[in-house]
Amino acid sequence: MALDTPFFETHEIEIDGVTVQYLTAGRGDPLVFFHGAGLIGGWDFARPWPDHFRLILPFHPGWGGSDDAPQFTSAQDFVDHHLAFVNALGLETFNLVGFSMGGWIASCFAAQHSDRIKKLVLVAPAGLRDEDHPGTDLFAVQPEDVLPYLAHDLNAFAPYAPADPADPDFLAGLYRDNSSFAQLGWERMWEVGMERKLPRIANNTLLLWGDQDRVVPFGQADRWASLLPNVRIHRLKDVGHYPFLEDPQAHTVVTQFLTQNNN
Amino acid sequence: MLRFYCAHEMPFQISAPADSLAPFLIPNSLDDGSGAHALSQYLEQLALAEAEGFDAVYLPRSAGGAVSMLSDPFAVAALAAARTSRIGIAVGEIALGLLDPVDAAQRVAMLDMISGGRAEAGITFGSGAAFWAMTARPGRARLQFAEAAALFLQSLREAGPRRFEGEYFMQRHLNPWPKASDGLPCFVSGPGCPETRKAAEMHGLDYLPDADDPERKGSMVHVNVFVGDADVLTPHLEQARAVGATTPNYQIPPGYLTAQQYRATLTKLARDPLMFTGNADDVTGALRTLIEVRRPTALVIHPHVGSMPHDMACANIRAVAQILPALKSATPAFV
Repeated sequence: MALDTPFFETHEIEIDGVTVQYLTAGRGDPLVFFHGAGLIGGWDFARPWPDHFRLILPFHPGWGGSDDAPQFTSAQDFVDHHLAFVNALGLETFNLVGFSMGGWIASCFAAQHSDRIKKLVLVAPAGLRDEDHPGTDLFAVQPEDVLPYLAHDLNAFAPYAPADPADPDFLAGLYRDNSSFAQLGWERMWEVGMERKLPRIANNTLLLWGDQDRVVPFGQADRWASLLPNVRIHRLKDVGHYPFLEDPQAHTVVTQFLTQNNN
Repeated sequence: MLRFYCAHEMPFQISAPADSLAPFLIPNSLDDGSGAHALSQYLEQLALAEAEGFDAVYLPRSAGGAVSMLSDPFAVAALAAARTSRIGIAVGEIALGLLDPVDAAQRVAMLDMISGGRAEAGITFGSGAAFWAMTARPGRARLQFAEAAALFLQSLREAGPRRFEGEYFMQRHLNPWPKASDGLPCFVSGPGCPETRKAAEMHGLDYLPDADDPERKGSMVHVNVFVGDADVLTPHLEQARAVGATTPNYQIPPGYLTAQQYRATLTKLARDPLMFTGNADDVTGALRTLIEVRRPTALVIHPHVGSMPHDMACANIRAVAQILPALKSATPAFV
């Protein structure tokens, strides 16, 4: 799904034969953000962060302005790609924020490359199987019915929703996002062995979660917390799966966590 | 020579609710024995297709949908073989990449033997419903299906024992029994993807005609054909609308097409239903035009969709059969 991103500088870089697009803004400590499976909602939520960080927003292969990478079939492919990406940018260490599917990838990245990460923020992360609090299989939801799953307050999406939900360009954009996500999550919506990976993450970690999340239920937070060695949970009351759109304080919580001197 | 198939999807005897997901969400139960009764009637309809002059029956494999009871089309095809003596028996839409291709080839060969050499096989290089019913990743499925097709055709056509080694399928001792008769008709079922067309051509299999290339020959066209006045047509059209309400989300799982192809398909689905209805003269004329323009080698006629009562299904099979001579006599020399 193409996005209008005038606030950010847009860059392109080739990583292992895949041309990817990334956005930047600000100066300071690097903050790398891994987006989720759907790009609806854009990047306005991130505009406060460049006051504090050098913000880097890469589009995963298969999303936004990045090329498709049909050869990607696992979270490990995305981890390897993003390792090459941060190396190409010369980022020795950085803060990492991963949202939803991006949280899945960020968790796998941190489990292998903990030394590259200063602090880790997982926002409503997908990727951990919790049979007591199963997530929603969005592939099984009709595209026109998806929005109520994403936000507790649908007004949050009002500026970004198309005038016509059946618009072919809009549906084709959703189809591309879903197709890219299917490379990772069609067979199962969780990472095999994630419960063995998470204890390897030594970094100071924040779990940020809306307690009305209908995609990845807040009830999963306890299981994540039981597996992460150094974690705290921040619960956002009456917020759904898109905290940054629904609660203006969500980015402030992240900023405060990342700027606290508690390493 | 143009051949005329009578398709039968053998739906459950229930009415689909007015829900866009209906074919996949109807409860999978027949609690009153009506399944056996329906199957008996469907077999009568297949025998009727032979008696009325069709060249073959077409039995598409189902994948978890209520529109078809053909989860095991080979069982139905064997029963059809016992009820008929002349007509070709085609099992279509065999989703090889999600099955055991060697087992599928053996089933086709068994059907060929049981029917006295009347078996035909239609394979897919992907199937929307199948992806939802099973866990194959749509974006990778073309490779998987292409490899499965190669294994299936080797199993069907070539003498064993031999070895087959692929990314998805490994056969150290490929020696299926029995071997089908030489020249058993094989074709590809599908909506007309360019990638599938290339794969079909690579294997020398018939496929749908290319609507953008009228010079291309050697292919199959599926059509819904309902003949009669308004009172006769209404229930057929109501069922066709209910079954056809399945949304693209289920027909085209994410990753099976590119976003550009998906967008084009949305437009095509709205434009090209290939449904022919009306009195015999009107339908005959429209089908003759279709034949002349698209030059199929096989016209797969669906004379009923959804849960049509037995008498109405039989009546339309007879009505369609009445126009077959006019269609055959008008078949252009190039077909």
